[in-house]
Amino acid sequence: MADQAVSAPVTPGRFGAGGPNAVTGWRFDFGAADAAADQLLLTSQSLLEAASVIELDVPVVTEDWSGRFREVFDVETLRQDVSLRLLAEGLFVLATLVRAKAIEAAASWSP
Amino acid sequence: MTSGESSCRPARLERFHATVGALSDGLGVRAGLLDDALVAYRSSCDPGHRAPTEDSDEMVRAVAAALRDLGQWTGAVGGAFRRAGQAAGLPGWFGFDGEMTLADARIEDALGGWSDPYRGVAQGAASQLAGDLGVDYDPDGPPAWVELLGDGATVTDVLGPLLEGAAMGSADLPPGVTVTLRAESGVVAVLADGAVVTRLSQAELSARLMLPTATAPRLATAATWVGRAGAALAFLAGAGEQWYADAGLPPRQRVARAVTRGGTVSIASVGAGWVGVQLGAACGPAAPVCSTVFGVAGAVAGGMAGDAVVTAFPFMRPPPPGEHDLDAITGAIAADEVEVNARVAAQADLQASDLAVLATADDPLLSDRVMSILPDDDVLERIVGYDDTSAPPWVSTGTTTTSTTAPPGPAPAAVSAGRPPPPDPWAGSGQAEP
Repeated sequence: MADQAVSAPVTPGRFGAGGPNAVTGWRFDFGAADAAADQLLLTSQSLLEAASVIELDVPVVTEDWSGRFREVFDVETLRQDVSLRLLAEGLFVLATLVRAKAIEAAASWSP
Repeated sequence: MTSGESSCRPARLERFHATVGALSDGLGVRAGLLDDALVAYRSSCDPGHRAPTEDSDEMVRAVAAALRDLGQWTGAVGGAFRRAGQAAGLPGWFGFDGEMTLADARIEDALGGWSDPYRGVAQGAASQLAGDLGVDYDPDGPPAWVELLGDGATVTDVLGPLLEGAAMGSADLPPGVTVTLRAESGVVAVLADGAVVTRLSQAELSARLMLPTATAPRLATAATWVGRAGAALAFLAGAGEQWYADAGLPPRQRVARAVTRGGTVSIASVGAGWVGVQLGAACGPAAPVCSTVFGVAGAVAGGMAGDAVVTAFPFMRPPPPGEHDLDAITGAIAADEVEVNARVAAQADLQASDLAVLATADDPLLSDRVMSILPDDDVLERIVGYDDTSAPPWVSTGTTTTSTTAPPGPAPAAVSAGRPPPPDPWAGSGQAEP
């Protein structure tokens, strides 16, 4: 059962529940921050998976494909691949930012 | 083939359309889930203490839309080939997997609904791109970039030459340049230090991306958090490939393999179900019930038998090249019931720790507090380094004493089913309570 327990969503968060801070006046929901970071990471992974499927399919599609339309396909798939991977990396970075800001918030929770 | 002619296997282009459509559907679901989480994050966390996540889900939707558009165009070209082939007396029935060669003019005529059948891509553009990337373009082989990425290149390796190749007067492009992707009425402009150098696709990325050669002074000019994100990105340039390597899986094949296998089983299942229904039809007055029972049983048997069944019945041959289980693709990409891979989470935690330390370095008191709540680097490193093929490094192998007590607080997601979960790198962290 311990294995199942760790599968539960990370709530209320690594640093507790958070909420309104009576002293500083600002609020922070650590569970929401963890969930946001997790969704960013999952989306990043999905984008890379999508790129991987396309990359694996392209040689099949382009077999015996030649001519003007094929050239367009090559250029466009490169653009798509770059877009998918760029966004994947960007979202990974955003996830690290979300987590870093949560650490900072937890550290400054008590003035 | 002569000049002004094109060749292809039309069915493969049409199947690519279906595959990309399934990918786009999955990304659409994923964008919705991301949006929900980010809305909750922004509404419950003070702006001064949260990361800029606005429009992230829209970026995903924009990429999905651009992907779908490419798939539709590819499928339309395949359909145009097929129809033009039929008109020319070639075997062009739907699903025909053979190769056909036709005049471009015929295909253009059959490609109705596309104002520009060549999508604005100039003749010779592929060779130019390949040249920019330092690879040879062979129009008879897979696109040059497939080989490039297969050799371990990352998106950053590709982006730099692309930017330089696309920029007018690329000699003026400094070696370390802040690159920003920004949506402009559905088209994405890539800006290098404020100047538009190219338009990639209908995607956008608000985070700043640094080329690998980014220099310290330029980092210093970036906003504190975003700039450090850029630095992290340069470090993480190979993260995509690394994730697969960390997972002990062949790069670029995880989902594709799964969905291809799923496709085979799915076809077997449907085929065997059809056999069951036909058998049930022989049951006389009870045929409807009988057919259902035989049909379900047949489907189950088909699903279980898999390859054995498809080899037994000629009409249940393995799927043709490029055909996948579309539902499996959509589900895998949507990832609506999936946890974050523990190694990916650990990588993010390591980076987040570094960012938090950097961002608070000028405040000794806050820095001390940050240091006191950081996760255990050693544990994170072990999780990242675990290749999923050997005994997990957190499992004791020299003693029979094994703790079954769950660590306090939330633990990271299990690395794989059937394995003990890794220790919680955050177990020693402080807890912030209001």
